[in-house]
Amino acid sequence: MWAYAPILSDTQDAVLTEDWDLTFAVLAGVFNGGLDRDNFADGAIVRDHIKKYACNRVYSDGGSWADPVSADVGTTDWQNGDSDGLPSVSEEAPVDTALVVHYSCAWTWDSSSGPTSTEQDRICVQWRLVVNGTTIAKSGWSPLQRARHHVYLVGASPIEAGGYTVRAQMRIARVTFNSATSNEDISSEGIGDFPLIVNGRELIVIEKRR
Amino acid sequence: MSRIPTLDINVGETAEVADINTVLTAWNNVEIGAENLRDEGLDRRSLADGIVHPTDADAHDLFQTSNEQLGLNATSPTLIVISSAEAVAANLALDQTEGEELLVFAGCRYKCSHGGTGNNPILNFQLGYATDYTGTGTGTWTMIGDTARDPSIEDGGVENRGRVSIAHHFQTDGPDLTFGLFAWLTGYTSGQTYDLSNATVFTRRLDL
Repeated sequence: MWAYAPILSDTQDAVLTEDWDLTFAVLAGVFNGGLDRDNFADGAIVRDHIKKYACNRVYSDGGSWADPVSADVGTTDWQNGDSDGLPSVSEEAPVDTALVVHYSCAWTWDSSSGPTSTEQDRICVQWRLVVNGTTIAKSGWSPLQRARHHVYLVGASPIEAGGYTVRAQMRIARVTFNSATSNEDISSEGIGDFPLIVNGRELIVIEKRR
Repeated sequence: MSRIPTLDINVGETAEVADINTVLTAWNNVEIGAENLRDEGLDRRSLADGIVHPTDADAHDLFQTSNEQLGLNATSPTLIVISSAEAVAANLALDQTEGEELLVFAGCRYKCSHGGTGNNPILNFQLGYATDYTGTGTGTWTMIGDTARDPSIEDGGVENRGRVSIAHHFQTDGPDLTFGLFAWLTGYTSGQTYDLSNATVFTRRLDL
């Protein structure tokens, strides 16, 4: 145990002031902020001893089914939806933390007003999760043919203590596969013809603090 | 406050009773608290088992079906039944005032063999919860609106396969919470077949 080594006196010894001072100075030093695992029996700390949220904290953001978010169909950039309506969480992490992020939602394409052609088959939506601007999870492209569909993403990221922001984002584009480059080519052609409505949004952020 | 004062007795001075009593009284009044512990001075050796990530039966639950294909033709929310007595449901308790958080994860594979055209059938999934569910198919269920997922099924006789997954942060305290995954069809007509399999509901309570 301890940094403290007791200085014991024998019968009829005089108590030396140096020993007295040293004994209490060491004891006070241990108690005044130096107690650690050596001072506690194994398993001595139980649930009620630990401060609430010392180890885990869960935040979530979403929107009711009756309050859908429309996509901005004027851009192929990553977006937060109309009026930044896609969920986000901005918090302060008290210590270095591992974030675990879950996101799920459903959406509906309105293809009733758009032209019918093979080109519309290539209009797609893609989803990602972003922590402080860094992508931690990304879906594939989901095409317009699935008039109603859904996504579930999960990702994790270590962050330093301090402020952070987690966002769910989407982008809409006409997607074609370029066999020459083995990459996707995206364009905005035709995307304005097919409004996208997002429902059932829920973003869950778990701070794994310890 | 729990910091302990020291009062040195110097050589050549009298050890006053009052001084000694002051020190002893200070020690006697100590209440060990956060100020007395070294930052990050405790590790897993000091902690009782399962207090941060509880492993007791009340902290998590998993219910899942097999990969057996289960036919679905219901047109109203129906608990996905795996036998006459069991359903996809998971049970536990939640007390947020104690720092508890509850996460619910649910999922299900679906396969739709759609033989016709023009009906635009939709396969609906949604989480619900009950406080009186006994595991026998009864219970008063409340649908959790934001967890609805409603994939549409492509027409033209194409077989559609997929898996729906839902993550939910549940924030209503309760002692006997049971979560269930429901499924139903809209736009259904006879002749179309819909099968579900590998349905899961996993609940996890985080403490502290």
